[in-house]
Order: sequence, then structure tokens, then C-alpha cells
Amino acid sequence: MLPSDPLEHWDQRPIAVAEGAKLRLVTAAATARRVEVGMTAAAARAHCAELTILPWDAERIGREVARASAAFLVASPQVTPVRGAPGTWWIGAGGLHGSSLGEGTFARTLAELARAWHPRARVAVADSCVAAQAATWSTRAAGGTLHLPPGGDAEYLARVPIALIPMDGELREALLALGLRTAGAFATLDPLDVERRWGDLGLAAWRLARGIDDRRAALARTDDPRAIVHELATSADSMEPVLFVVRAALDRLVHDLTTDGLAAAEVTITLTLDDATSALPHTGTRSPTVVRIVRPARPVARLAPLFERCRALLDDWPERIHFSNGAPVRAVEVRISEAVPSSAEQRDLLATSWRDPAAVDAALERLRAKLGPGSVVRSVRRDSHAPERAGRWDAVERLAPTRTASVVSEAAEARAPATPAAARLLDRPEEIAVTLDARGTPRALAWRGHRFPLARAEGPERLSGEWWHADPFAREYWRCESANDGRTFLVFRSAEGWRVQGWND
Amino acid sequence: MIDRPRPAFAELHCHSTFSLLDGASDPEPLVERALELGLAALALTDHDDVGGVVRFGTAAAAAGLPGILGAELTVEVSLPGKRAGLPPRLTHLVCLAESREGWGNITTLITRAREEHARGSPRVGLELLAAHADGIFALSGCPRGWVPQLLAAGVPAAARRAAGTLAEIFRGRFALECWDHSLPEERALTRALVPLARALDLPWVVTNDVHYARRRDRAAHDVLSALRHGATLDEMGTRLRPNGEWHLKGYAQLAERWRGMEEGLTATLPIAERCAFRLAALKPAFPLYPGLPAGVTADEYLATLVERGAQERWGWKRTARHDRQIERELTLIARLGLAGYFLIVWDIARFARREGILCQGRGSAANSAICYCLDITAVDPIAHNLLFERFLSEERQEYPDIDIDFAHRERERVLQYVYERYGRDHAAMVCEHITWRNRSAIRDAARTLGFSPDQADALVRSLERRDPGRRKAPEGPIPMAASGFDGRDPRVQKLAGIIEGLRGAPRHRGIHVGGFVLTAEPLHTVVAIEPASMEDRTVIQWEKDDLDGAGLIKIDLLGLGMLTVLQDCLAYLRTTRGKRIDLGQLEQDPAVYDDLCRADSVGVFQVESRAQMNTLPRLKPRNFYDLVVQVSLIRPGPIQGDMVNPYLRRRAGLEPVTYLHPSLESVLKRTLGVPLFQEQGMQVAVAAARFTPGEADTLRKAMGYKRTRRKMAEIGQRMLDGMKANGIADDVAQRIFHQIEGFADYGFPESHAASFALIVYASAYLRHHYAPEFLCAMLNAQPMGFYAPGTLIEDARRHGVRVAPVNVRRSSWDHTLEPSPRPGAPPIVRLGLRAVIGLGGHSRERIERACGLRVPEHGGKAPRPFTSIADFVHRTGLDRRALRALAGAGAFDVFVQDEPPARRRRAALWGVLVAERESSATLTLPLFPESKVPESLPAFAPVELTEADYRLTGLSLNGHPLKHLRPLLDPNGVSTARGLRRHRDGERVAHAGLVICRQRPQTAKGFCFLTLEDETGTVNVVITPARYEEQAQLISTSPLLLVRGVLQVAQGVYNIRAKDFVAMRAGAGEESVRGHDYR
Repeated sequence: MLPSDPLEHWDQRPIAVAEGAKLRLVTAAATARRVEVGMTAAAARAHCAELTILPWDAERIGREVARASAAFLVASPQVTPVRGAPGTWWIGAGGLHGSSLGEGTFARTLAELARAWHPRARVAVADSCVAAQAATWSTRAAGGTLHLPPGGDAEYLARVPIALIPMDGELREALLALGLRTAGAFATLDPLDVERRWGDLGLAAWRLARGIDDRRAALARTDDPRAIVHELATSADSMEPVLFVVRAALDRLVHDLTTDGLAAAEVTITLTLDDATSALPHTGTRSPTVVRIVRPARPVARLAPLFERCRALLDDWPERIHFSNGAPVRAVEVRISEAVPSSAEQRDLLATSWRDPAAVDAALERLRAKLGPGSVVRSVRRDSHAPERAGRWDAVERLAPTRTASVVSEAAEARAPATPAAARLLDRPEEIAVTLDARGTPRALAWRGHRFPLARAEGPERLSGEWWHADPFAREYWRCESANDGRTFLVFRSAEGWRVQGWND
Repeated sequence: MIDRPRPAFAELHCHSTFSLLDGASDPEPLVERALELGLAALALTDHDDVGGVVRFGTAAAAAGLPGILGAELTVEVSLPGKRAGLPPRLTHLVCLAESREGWGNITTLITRAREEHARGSPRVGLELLAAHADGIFALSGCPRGWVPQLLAAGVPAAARRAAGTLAEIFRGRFALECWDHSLPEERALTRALVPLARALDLPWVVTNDVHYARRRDRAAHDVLSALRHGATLDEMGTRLRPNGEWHLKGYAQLAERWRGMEEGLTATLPIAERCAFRLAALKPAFPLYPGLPAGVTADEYLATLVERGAQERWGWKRTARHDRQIERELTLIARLGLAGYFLIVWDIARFARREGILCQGRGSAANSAICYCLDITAVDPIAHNLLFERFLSEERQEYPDIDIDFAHRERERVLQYVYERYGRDHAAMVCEHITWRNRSAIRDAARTLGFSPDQADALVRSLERRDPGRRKAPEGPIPMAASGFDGRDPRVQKLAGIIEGLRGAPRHRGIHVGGFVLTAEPLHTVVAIEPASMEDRTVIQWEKDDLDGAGLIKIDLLGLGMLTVLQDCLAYLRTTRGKRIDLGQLEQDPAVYDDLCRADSVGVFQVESRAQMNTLPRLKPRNFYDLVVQVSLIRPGPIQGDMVNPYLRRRAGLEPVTYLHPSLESVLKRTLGVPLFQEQGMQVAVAAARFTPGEADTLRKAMGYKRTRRKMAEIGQRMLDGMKANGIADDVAQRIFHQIEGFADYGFPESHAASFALIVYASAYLRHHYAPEFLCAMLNAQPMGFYAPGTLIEDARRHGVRVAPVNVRRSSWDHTLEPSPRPGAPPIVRLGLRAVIGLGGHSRERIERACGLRVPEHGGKAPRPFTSIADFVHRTGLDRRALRALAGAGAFDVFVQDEPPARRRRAALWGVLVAERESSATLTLPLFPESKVPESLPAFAPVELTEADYRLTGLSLNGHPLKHLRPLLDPNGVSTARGLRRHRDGERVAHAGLVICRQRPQTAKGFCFLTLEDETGTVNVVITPARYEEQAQLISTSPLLLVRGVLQVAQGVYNIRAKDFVAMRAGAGEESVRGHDYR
């Protein structure tokens, strides 16, 4: 959601992003109103009535992260979004030291790019990721950027609080209890002592405290132009984000192949699984991986058929991947493991296209473009006594099957047969005139200029509730069968008078 | 007089708040509304519960409304035919008591339903139901009844069979029940139920399955439903009822709906007439004392025991007055048929003594010479001129109430004795309905609206700061904005209403602090019994206020921490000093009274609170009766009645002793003309208004008991009339009445104060003469008393007691006493491992097992002490958290003695880290020898040591947190607690300390009182309401305060009247200090 005032940054407005029932991100303005990550929407609004709460949209966030990553590619070919921390990137600055561009300029360039997203973006340049990340906490005083001299990581880290070194919480707690409050103090311990007390995890953290960090930016590898490795911003437990990455990677690789006059004879996809230690520094053990190879019937230099084969393979994978060790995917490598010179046919722009199920998505996208956002929807049942609240239309972003968010209670199921909802509900109930008999039963109704004598009227059914909302309801419903055409109208009487809400044909 | 139409409908199905988390109205409002609607009768039918029956029956009887007693039972029925293997169906059935037998069957069924099934899912089977169906009229129940469920499931034939089965069980006492809450599904059921009833020749009746009194109570019902499901209102969806029709309705309103079928309404009337059982017919009998010798009546046996006791108690001092009193009491007891009751209480007290459990009767029982002779109480009522009628009177129509305190750690043994001796079918504890109070109401209301616990806590804190300690609803709006709530949010706007709706409603059932009831007949035929949450305990569904209405007698078997302290202290003395002390024979020692006169009373029973300490130097107690007065003085009654200062001034000779009327002199002479005790209030009524003692007790009860306010107006007028008739002028009569009105039920009976005074003196005596033993017993009896262990230890150390730190080689689980290395010096208190926060029963068991203390084959052998950190870790197998806590608390320092003292805890942790890792790797021995502790591990700064102590044990032997601030405070003129003694009254002073007590009693008119503790002692701070309002947040939340203000010195009492407050931080663990806040 964009701010209405172009001069006002979104961070200056009270906005939160909720995942499920809880808030996952909040803006600075929301924080100032005591809205905190982890709160429920109701709790947050009790502090800040005008809080805008947006749903967590992993796909959209992934897209934005990818867009930002692409923008950073202007400054460096090595851009990796940090997993689990959307908004943080490792960006390679190899070779800039001593060059005319210089690391300081590089940092300022990155900061300028980053300010497109946030006015107080911070950039630090260091030999190691750990030092760079620690240094971003000192950049506020340095105008948003800071670069450490080459070889200066250990000296810099020696003074930083132990809290800035990534490590297991329990280890950090133990170090603090021992009185070791800086990375430098930790670094002075004998590694054998560290290993005896905290094992590999301790040693890995100890190395970080000394500025030894083998984590690097990894999106593009200049040493291997036929492979792309992408670490996902958050570990994926479905194939959707993986396919997104595979498609983008293939696009890039196919482009490079065609530039070189080559076609792909074999594609290798390697998924690195999250073994729950990836947020910590490397411990020397390799994360588990799953490798699959795609060999098209003939060498191909077009994205669509290659991606279609890969998608077919990946669609068949999820269960097997999960059952291998139950871990989600944290990185994807797409490699053209075998390339051959492309044939003339391969270069034929007029060749008929492959059948592409994604075309449906494309079609839906076109509908959205034509009819506006939110025009493609599907119905989801909800648990409420009020007919208009007993269902909702959810926007469809993709056609991919998803589980229906049905939260209908047993009580609702029990009541459902006795209270069939109107098949056609009006967006807003409309005013009607009703003629009653002596016992107060509707005998005729007039709606949109037509009069409907009633053959039968069943009711009343009293429904009321949601008194804690701004718009509680209290209605007396009747199901009125028209003597004209047999339609059954769902009408109600409330404090505002008679309304028709829908009908069954 | 309103001409009411003849009632034509009785509501036979109604739930109150005792259908926990379902019914939304208390019994009384239901009765009130039924009267307004002109109902012929109202039945109370809570779900498997009779907890509201006494309140309902009493209210209905008072209002002249026929109140039918019953319950809606959960009945389990097996599924027939092909579905026979499926889980049984749970159904509802309304049961109404036609007779005493029917009532007994209902309560028996509920008892069995709760005893034989998991907590929270009571149910009875059809066989059990059939065995206890006599005297019950049954209705087929709500839509969850067996018959309606089958009809809704589309199996009318099965429904017909079910109706037939129930009709057979109840043989002419069964009707089908119909309802209409304006829902089509209920109408559909009714269309099937009425023909079914006609086909089976059964009556059918209309009920409204009432769940609240008025339509407006629907919101409360929704909230309770949400709480029952543990969901927010938003999440409830259709689990909430679809409308607000489940309220009480009158004939006219129902007849509108049931037009043409009014017979369903009028059919309720004959059923209501049949169900004529009322509580007055219950009349349970007290059991006979089982040890009665053959051929001897209870009265005779009681007289024999009393005679024997009187000989022992008074011996040669016995006079005719003693005989007359005994004779009077025995005669009354015989007339009321209470001999068995006294024998049973005597039996329980005798058991405790036999088992070495310290016990003492208290309360009004101490007014009875018979209780004294039976060794139930320890105060001689004749020597103290105590009023027997405060305990028992023929006019009062109430049973006596005997409270006995036992050493609290041993009380469970006494309770189990009662169960065993009198049988679990005849004995159970009284329940306590835990109701929503401010704190819980706010939390639950906020939760149902979807607010976070933090937000609820903020609101609670804000409310408590404004109205600390209030149990009733605060006046004025709840401070939403001050708690950070945005008033524009609609949920925030509803919050206050929901909180209000919850307050006072029962939430769940707990165990009364000590009330036991016993009956001759099986107790489950009187009231439903259920297993309590504590193992081996059962509770009845009535609480103490219900017992009189049901005719049950309660015995209070209470636990008192100070009796445990005294018992332990005496046991320690036998070991440490070889002394055997009889608390009944303690000398009156002036040195003990000197302590009390100085308010040197931390840890002394009853007189250790801030308010008591402020009064002690003014009252200057010099004998036992002064202690009786002291105990009674600081009570809401005397404080509200403005009697404290007049008494103290008269005692100090600052004002003359006068009486409002000469007739009061004999009553008030010993308290210098100021009434302090409940008995004096009664005696004033006797002397001034010619009340009989029984009438006087009725006056006392009427004044103090909220449910008899109406009576109070009547009896108050009688007293004023009596005084007028006695020649007392109107204005004087009004002043006399006002004086006793203030404290009638909020003061102590003199007898009770005298019982407590005995314990006051005993604890003061032991503290003065045997401080290490007393401290050790106090620490082992925690939690109890007014002060946290840290404060008790600081105080004891100021009195020369040596306290040694936790040490895994020397410490037991409990705190212990070690001989001093100096010959003849008192023992040293060694802190036990229980002092380490975070170690629980599990850790204790592991440690004691590792030492060999819990292994049978090691019985009699000396414990095997630990030899190193690795040895401890390996043998105990304690978890990481516990080991680190022990290292942090210094418990392993003994193994790193070669390190400088300030580095030992770090060195110990260094060792623990390697030992725990190698131990968890299941190595039997350490893999490598322990390496040298790295030089880079820094020593603890002194302030860090104190911080670690407070964080991990709540106390410190390494210095009080204020010690670390002293270099900053001294140059700025901030006095220590001891230093304040050098200042004079009216001087401006500054003082800083840990806030160990915050109080804002309702009797203090908005004043707030703090107790600040520093390394030299404690100081009381008085804060005016205006200053408190300005700084409420800071005063209520800062653990360490610097105050500036004016020193007030009066009669040896030092207070600071504070004007300015500064929150300070010492970084020495002050945030871990457990204060006595607003309690």
C-alpha cells in the first residue's frame, strides 16, 4: 500500500503486516504507537485504531526482495538476500578495494539504491559478512555507511558486543554469564576449551568472533556461468517459490546459452534442504541436498519447454523431498550440466509453442489487468450467523490449488441444513415494502418496482450478534416464497426496516 | 398493591452462573426477574451442579417464589444397532426434586458422575439413572437431550424408543420438553416432539432453557462461552448462540409464540406443584462420635471429658464461677444437640497432639470454657472475661464455628485423619467458588476481545495503582487511556462493560481454606461431592456461606505457617542446645517486650507489618493483655471507627479516659473507654440498649454481613430505641451506635486476639532468645509472613546471626544449623539448596538420591558428599539450567577455592560447562582433566556478586544493593535508615532503599505507605494522596527509590513524609526483590 502523501514514507504511517493471527512486521510509526511484532490484530488496534494491517504475502515479499536484489546487481554481480531476514542482503564487493571505484563509493552507491526502499538504509563494507553485519549497527553515526579497512575485521569485532555475533542463544547466555561481553573477549579463549564446552557450534561462533566467516554473497557465480545458486529469503515448504526461482534462473541461463549459440542438453537442479542450522555460521557439516537431472528429448534453447520439464519434475517432488528428512528447501541451484551447439531449429522463432499450463495464470492475469485487481475471486466459507458474513470472496493470485480456508464450526454444520443460505446474496441488502397479516407474517413484498404476493412465509428466525464490532446486527429473518415465480426471498426486518438480502431460484 | 395476573407458567429449566462458563446470571437476579414476570415457580437446573441451590433457595424463599431444586444431568447412552461400537452419545436430562429422596438421588447421581469420570466430563449411565430415579421428575432436556438429538438425526423410531425408556425409568414422572428461541431448527424439533408426546401419552411442556435473567445479559453469556472454548469472540463464530433469546420469559411473551398450543405452558404448573422439595426439609444430622463408650450418651461423655480437662486446666484455682460457666455451656450444648460436634473437634485436636502437630483453636471458640477444657483452645475465657454468646447462643439459630490452626506443613495429615476416621462418604471439604475479581476479569475480558496479555496486564497495573487491593468494582471509569488503549476502537469501548459483567461470577471451584463438613447420613445424599484438584481430597459443591442455609456444620481445620515455625524451632533447639521448651510455660520476659516496644519485630507473628510496627512504639506493650490489644488495634474495624489514635493517646496519658455513657464503663474500662473487640460491641448493646446477648450477636452479624443489610436497619433501630428507653440522649445514642457500627465485623473477637497474642509472644520470645533457630525455621516455612527471605536474613544479621552461603558440600535441601567454630557461640544458619531459584522438587530428589539420602540401602549411613564439580554433575544428572543456577549462586565455590573469591563463580561455571557436556555425552569419567580457568574470565565486581545473588536466590550475603550506591549517596546527604535516628522531627531528610512493601489500604483515605530497606535497616515512608497520584507509576514500579521529605518522629516512631521521588538503579539485582505489594 502506497502512502497517500508522496512525501510521507510508508514507515511513517502505522502499518503492520500480519501472518496468520499475529503481526510479523510493523512500521516505525506503528512501533511508536506501541504496536509490536507478535501482537494479534485486535490487540494492535486497541493501541492504534487507525492501524492498517496488510496480510503477509510471501510471494509479493519475495518479488520485492527479488526486485531489490536486481537493483543491487547494478553495483555488484553477487547479491544474496539474507535468509529469514527480508530487507538484508549480502552483496559482494570483491575486487573493489584499491580500484578507482573504491569501497567507500560502493557503499554510498548501495546506500543510495537502498534508500529507494527506506530513507535510513544502512550499508557496511567489510572482509567478512559477520563484521559487515555488526558494522551496520554503527552506521547511524557514520551517515548510513561504514567501511572497515581490509584486514580490519578482527580488530573491529574485538570491541563489538557479543550480541552482534550470530550464535546459539544458549551459548551467548553462557558467555555473558562467564563475563565475556565482547567478541574480542570470546575470541581470546583457547579453541580446545571452546570445543569441549560448546562443540562445533561453539567453534563456529568463535571463528566468527575472530572475523573468520566463509559466508559469501552467492546469487551469481562468475566462475561458473552455466549455474545459478539462489538462497531463498525464507525456507520454502512448497514448490511454488522454488519454481519461481527455477524459472528466473532458466531464463537467465537460456539467455546466456543462446548468446553463446548453445542449447541445453541436461539441466541439474539441486535443492539444499534446511537442517535448522543454516541461520548459524557454517559448522563444517554440509546441509543435505537433493539432486535431480532433466534431459530433454533433444537439446533445447528455449525457456518454455525447459521450464515445463523442470516443473513436471518438481511438481512430482515435494512429497519425496519432505519425506527424505522433513526439511524445507533453503537454496536452489540450477545448472546447465550439459550444453551442445544449438541447431537451426532451435533458433526458429516461428516454432509452435509448447503447451503451457501457466497460460491459465497468464489468462487470469490478463483478466485482472482488464477488470482490475481483485476481479478474479473464489468463494471461501466463514463461520458466522449473519448470512453476508458466512462466506467471503478471496482474490485468486494463482490457479495453483490451495487449501480452502474453511473455519466453519460443528455448530454451523449442525445448523446448516435448517437454515439454507440464499444462493444469490445481494452485495448490500435492499429496502423492500412488506405487507403483513394480523399475526405479523409477511403476505406480500414489493422490491425494485415489482410486487410479489407470497405463497408461504417461514419465520421468524432471529439472528443477532457481533455486538463487540462497530457494526453489530440484530435481524428477524423470513423465507418468503413468491406466488409469482416460486422464488424464495430471504428478507429480514431490523431497526432500519425491511430488507431483502437474497433469494433462491 | 399491584394486581398480578394469576401465574400460568412455571419455568422448569433454568441455568445460573453455577453452570460454570455457561449460565450468565446469579441465582438472585433470576429469582428477582421471575417475580417481575409473575412466574408460578422457577427451577434451578445447572449442568451437573447444585452449587447455586442454597443461594437460589434462600432468595426464592425470601421472595415467596416457589423455587424448585434440580439439575440438568449429562446422561451417557449407548448407540443401538450398527452403531453399537461407536462412542456413546452424551445427552442432557433435566431432573427436578419432588421429595427429599429425589434430592438425595440427584446429588448422588452428580457425585457419581463426577467421581467416576475425568474431571470436567461428568456423566451417568442409564442403569445408574434408573437406580436413583425415585423422587425425581425428569424433562427430556434441551436440544442436546436424548430424544431431541435422535429426532434431529432423523431417526424418529429411535427417538420414540428413547422416550419410552425414560418414561419407564421415571414411571409417570417424565415429560417431553419443547423450546422456541426463534430458530427454525427448534421449530422443526417441536413439530416432531409434540406428536411424539401425544403418541406416547406423555405430557409435554414448554421451557425457555434459560441461561440468563434478562436479554441484556446475552453479552456476558457470549463472553463466558468464548472463555469456555478458550477462544476470542471473533473466533467463536457459530459456537455462540445465534441470538439473545435464552432469557427468562413470562407467560404473555411465550403465549405469543405458542398460540394455539398453550397447553405446553400450563402443563408446567402441575409439575411445579409436584416438585415441592425445599432446602428446609434437608436437615442433615451430625455424625455420632465413633469412640463413645457403650451405654454412655454423647452429653455424658462430653461432661466427663470437660470435668477432666477442668481439673487439669484450673486445678486448685477452680471456683464456683468456673463451675457455673461449664454448667451453662454444657446445658446449652445438650439443648442444641451439639455434644457430638464438640467430641469430634476434641478428637481431631487430640489426634494432632498425639502426632506432635502443633495446633491451637482460635476465633470465637476461644470464648468457650468447654473448648478450653477440651484443650481445643489455649486461652482461659473466664480469666479474660470473654463473652460466651459470641461463640454460641440459642437465639442465633446458627451452628457454632470452631477454627483450629495446625502447623501448616502437617495439616494434610490431619485432613486425611478426618476422612479416614469418619469415612469418605460422610466427610468432605467445603468448596470455595473462585470468582472473577478485578485482575482476572480484566485479563479474561481482554482475552475474549482479542487483546494481548500484556495489554491486559497494563490495564490491571493501571487499575491497581489507582485502587490497590480493591476487590470491589473501582469507582469511575476504568482508566483505558492511561493504559495505552485507544478509546476510538469499538472493542476498547466494550471492554469495561465485559469486565463489569464478569466481576463476581463464579469461575471455577476450589477448596476452602480449611472447612470440613461431616454428616451422619451419606453426605452425597445431602449435597453433590466431587474430587478436588488436590489428590485425596473431595469437596462439596457448597461454600461456607451456604452451610447455614443447608443446616450443615463446618469445622475449620486451618494451616498456620507460624505454628510450623514454632514447631520446627522447638525441634531445632532440642538438637542445637539440648533445650526442651514448653510454649505454654514461657516466662514473661521484659527483654522480649523491649524488642516489641522498639518495633524490632521482623518475623514476629501478626505484629511485623508496617502498620503494626508503627503502632508498637506508641502502644509500648509490657504484658500479655497489651499484646491482645495490639493484635486487635490494627484492624479495619478499629481503624475505620477512628479508635486507634484515641486509644493510643489515652494510653499515653495525653487525653482523659471518658465514656459516652456511664453504663458503658464496665464494658470499656479495660480498653480505656474505646471499644476494640467484637464482644465489646455486643456488650455495649447489652448494657446500653438492654439487648440480650443473643440479640447483640445478631446485631454484630447484621452490621458486618453484606447479605443482611436490610436486617441491619431493623436491628439498628431497635438498638437506638433501646438506648432511648434506657435514658440515653439521642445524640449520644447515635455516637454509640456509630462507634460500634464501624468495627462490628471487621474487628477481632477478644478471644481470637488472645489466641493470636499467645503466638505473638511465643514467636517474639524465640526470636529474641534463639535467633538462629528462629531464622532457620522461618526460612524453611516459606512462603509465609510479611517479608521475603532476604529481608528476614538482613534483619537477623543485624541481630548478630551468622548466615553461611549455599554450598553443595554442606547444604541440605532445607536450611540447616551448623555449630559455630567458636565454642559457646550460637549456631550458624547454613542456607539450603532450596534458596536457589529454579531448583524444584525434581532437582531435590536427584541431589538427595546422589548423596544417598533417598536410597533405602544407604539408610543409616552418612551421606556421601560431592568431591568436585564433575562428581556433582555426574552423580546428580541435573539439567543445564539447574547446574548453571547453582554455579551462579556460588554453590560450587567450595570446589574452586584456589581462585580469588570474586572469580570463583565464573571458574565454577567454566567447570560446569565442560562437566555437563561430557556428562551428557554419557561418559563415565571426564574425557580430559579439567584445564586451567582462562585468565580472560573476569572476576565479579562486588555489585555483580550482589546482582547474581538476588537474581538467583532473592537475597545476598555479599552486601545489600544499597551498599554499592553508598559512595554516591553519602556525599549527597542521603541518610541510611540508622542515620535517620540522628535527625529530629520536622527536619528535611533524604533516604534511599529497596521498596520491600507498598500499601495503600482502603482505610487510609488514599495515603500510600512504603517500607524502604537499606543495609542498616528499614524506614517507613508516608505519601499523601496528591503526591501519590502525581507519581503513581514511579512509586508502584521502581524497585529502588530515593525519597526526600520531612522526618516525622512521634513516640519513637520514625516516618518520612515524602515529597520528591527519584527512581534509582544500582544494577545489583534490585529488580529481583520480591516486595509485599498492595496486599
